[in-house]
Amino acid sequence: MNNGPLLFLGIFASVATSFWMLLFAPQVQIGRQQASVIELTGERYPAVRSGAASQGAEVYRSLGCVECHSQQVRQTGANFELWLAEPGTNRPVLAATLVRLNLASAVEADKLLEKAPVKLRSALGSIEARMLAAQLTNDDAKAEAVLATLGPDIQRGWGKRLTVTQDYLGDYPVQIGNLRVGPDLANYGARSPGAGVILAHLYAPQKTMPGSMMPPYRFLFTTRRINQGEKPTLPLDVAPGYDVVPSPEAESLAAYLGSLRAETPLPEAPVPAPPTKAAPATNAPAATPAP
Amino acid sequence: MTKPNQPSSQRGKAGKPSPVPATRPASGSADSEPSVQRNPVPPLLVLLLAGVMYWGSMYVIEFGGEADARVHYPYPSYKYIEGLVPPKGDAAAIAKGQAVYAQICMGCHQADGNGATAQNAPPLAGSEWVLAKDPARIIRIVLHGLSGPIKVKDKDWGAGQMVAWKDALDNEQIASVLTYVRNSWGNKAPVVNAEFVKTVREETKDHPGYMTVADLEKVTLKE
Amino acid sequence: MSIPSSTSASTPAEPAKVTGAEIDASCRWPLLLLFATAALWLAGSALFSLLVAIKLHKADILADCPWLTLGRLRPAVNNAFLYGFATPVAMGITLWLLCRLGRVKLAFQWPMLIVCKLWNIGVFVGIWAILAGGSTGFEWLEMPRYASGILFVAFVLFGLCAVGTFSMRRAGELYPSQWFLLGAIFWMAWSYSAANYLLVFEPVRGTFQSVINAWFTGNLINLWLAPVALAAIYYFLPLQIGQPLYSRELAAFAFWTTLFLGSFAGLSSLVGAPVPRWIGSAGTAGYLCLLAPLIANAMNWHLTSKGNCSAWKHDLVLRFLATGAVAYLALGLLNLVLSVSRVSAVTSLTYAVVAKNYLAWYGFVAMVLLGCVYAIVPRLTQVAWPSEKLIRVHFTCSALGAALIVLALLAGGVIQGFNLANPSVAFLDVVRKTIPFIGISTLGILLFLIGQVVFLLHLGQVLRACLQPFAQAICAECCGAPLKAGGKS
Repeated sequence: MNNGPLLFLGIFASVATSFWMLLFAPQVQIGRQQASVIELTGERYPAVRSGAASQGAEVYRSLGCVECHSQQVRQTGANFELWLAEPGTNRPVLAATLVRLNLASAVEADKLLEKAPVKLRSALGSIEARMLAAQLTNDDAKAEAVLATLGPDIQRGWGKRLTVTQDYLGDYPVQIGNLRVGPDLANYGARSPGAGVILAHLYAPQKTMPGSMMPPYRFLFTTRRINQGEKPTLPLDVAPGYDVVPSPEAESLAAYLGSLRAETPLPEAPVPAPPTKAAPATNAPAATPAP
Repeated sequence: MTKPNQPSSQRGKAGKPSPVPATRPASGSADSEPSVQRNPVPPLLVLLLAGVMYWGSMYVIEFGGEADARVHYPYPSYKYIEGLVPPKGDAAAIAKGQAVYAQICMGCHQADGNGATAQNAPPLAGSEWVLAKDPARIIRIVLHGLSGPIKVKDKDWGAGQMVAWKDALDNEQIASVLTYVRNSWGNKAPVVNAEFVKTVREETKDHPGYMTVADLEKVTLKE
Repeated sequence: MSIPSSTSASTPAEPAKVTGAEIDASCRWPLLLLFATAALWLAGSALFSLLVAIKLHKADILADCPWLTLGRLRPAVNNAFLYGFATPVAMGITLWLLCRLGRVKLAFQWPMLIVCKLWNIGVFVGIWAILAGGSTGFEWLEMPRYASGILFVAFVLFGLCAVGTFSMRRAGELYPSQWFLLGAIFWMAWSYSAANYLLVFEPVRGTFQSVINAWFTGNLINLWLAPVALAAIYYFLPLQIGQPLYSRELAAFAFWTTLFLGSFAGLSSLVGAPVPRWIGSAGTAGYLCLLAPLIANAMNWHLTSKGNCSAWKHDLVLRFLATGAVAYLALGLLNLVLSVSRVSAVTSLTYAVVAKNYLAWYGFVAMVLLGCVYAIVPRLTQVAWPSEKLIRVHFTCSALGAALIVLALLAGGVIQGFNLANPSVAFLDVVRKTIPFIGISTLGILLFLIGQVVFLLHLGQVLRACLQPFAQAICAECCGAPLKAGGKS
């Protein structure tokens, strides 16, 4: 412990250990990820941002929005729900099965079948849900065990699933944030009320969300005079005769916020897909058949 | 130079000496450095270190998602995530497909998938037709049969005929037997879905008679 | 208190012994410049930190100036503290300790003056850039590449000076502080360059950026500022109370375990984040393992100061250091608790994380570094601190302020976390319920600011007294007027 070079070697060894285990290993795992192709739609994920949205990402970084907003949806777990997708033709038997399996009382069973697709039971394990679904499924009737993602973020409507490394491949810098003074924005585009409302919120957050701590970004807008009868640009109460016009930065920021999405089902992050009412058959001509 | 550690000017009230700032070391000498004794590290502390390193390792092993890059909190392992999605039934389909193959296709295309010149049955193992990512062409062959010469693995297969199976086999069976063929004998190709077979069946329902290679080549394969 | 010597025979070429006063005199100007500019950055950072807190209460204040918007002000404040105050003072303390423990004068005065100037230019340019909108977006690395490049060059120059000073030491046993200081220098140089390279110069893809960012923020505290602070405590504690350090072996144990296990700890901020799960778990394991050096340090300090437990009452340097030491222990435990995934599920992404940072910065690092400044400056300037009262005021304001900030934000963060975890609480209600805690922490920031302003003024008095004779001498040379009577000669 008195030898300078030996001391240096020890320090270097600690640096090397940290490098190999904490920088090299993650680089091998996630640093070389590529955008993937979604099997179902054939589209590239994550999608390339439009020009306005990528400029908006720069505005987001420059204004330091990451200080108050996170961009990561978290999940606390997952379980299954039992859904009845199609009631089928043999309703009395199905109703009896429902009663037998304790999924509905004798009185409600028939009404429940009318409401299909309908959720029958939640908070089930995967095996239990699948067994019940198999028991309710026959030629006509169809029941499914549907995944349910759990967590306060999900229940607040901030996303349908947790965000994973794949979601951030198109971002530079990746701004997952570490403080939620404001709501999470990872999936904001999916619940966005439209560019106009976003811009109004940027201009006067205390008016659109009373109690918000968000500072008003009035410097991203200019006020100009308008004639009587001209419609204002933003859904805002401004003094009559005046109009608030967003600058290109504000518009690109709104475009970026509207482009934030993290709902696509991925192999490592499945999304709940409850059955929906089947669309009625149309008479549209089929695509040109191949020989 | 004033002596060290003495106030340079009298800043206190008149007659009252400045307070000696309480920042001097106890020894008072400007030359002293701290000294250090030698006392061994208590064995309990070493035990503690071993304990926390062990506990830490166990923690990472248990809650580390098996160091799989695809596993994120809160999922415990990739197998668990796979269990959340309804099984695509690859293994089940392949098993089912093997049964269909044994019953129907083995007679001509042989158990090892190498085909037989005597039966005019080209090989399936390593066949570029089978291995194409898009199964659109081979579904058509199974549904409507094949007539006429076909080149498989750089070899021409003569004017034999393959029977159409669209009436004998349903979509599930065709999908499963093609999945089996595409994943056996060294073949590796994506599974075939029953929905896709259904689509192709409807697209080609008006096709008269057998397929030919000319017909098949009109079908563009998706990447 | 004699200096232990390990060689019994002296070689004929052995250099003359250097006195402590000579060592201090050789360090004078670079260190004073470092400390003075750092004190300015500290006061500035505290002032704008107060502005940030006020903005959280009333978002409208100064909102029309894009330079002072909240998202730019907060990173500017953080960078001003870390790179404007903490790192320069740490650099100064490192040099001084290496000189004293090596019994060698500082041979690199001009390079160190250049380091100080370069460093301040870099910090100034960096903070200007952040406020102008050029932030990189990475936590504690917001300075753009032109500023971080300047800082890195300055740090490497400092590192060379420090290692050079170390290699010029007189033969003898190494004192534990020297190990910590060398480790800290290498780790900071490595972390800063690697993080900046992989995030800004040749960016990596996806959330690997977050991994590197978390690794860096952990290293900045655990492997740069903390080891320097620990080195300072290891030096000053035995010195101020006049007792030898209890155990060299315990210090070695703490050193090696910190060095090898410390870099994992930073990853614990990624528990629950969109990165592979093993990374967050490795972070938790890191803080768990850091319990060992924590206990080793605590034991060493406790057994050293046995019988002198009330020394901090009259020794103000010790008061700062002891507060810092207690904060270090609290920080280690808090970090461990916050990294457990069940707790993190509630506390991450809340003010509890901010509280943890403030405990590290204000509670631990600032207190220890300020205590060292109080000990070192009189030796450099040969001028005593004029007013003990001002030191006490500084201490009380800083300690009380830091305690208020940390406790208020911790409580507020936990409550915020529980509310966030309850989906039936509307988000605006979650925000509303944090306001009282932010209010208390604002009071804390105000107290802390008052303390730092007091310190700045006090330091100014000392510097003026120190510089006066030199200024007078220069004046005398220029004008040919005789020296004022009664002044220092």
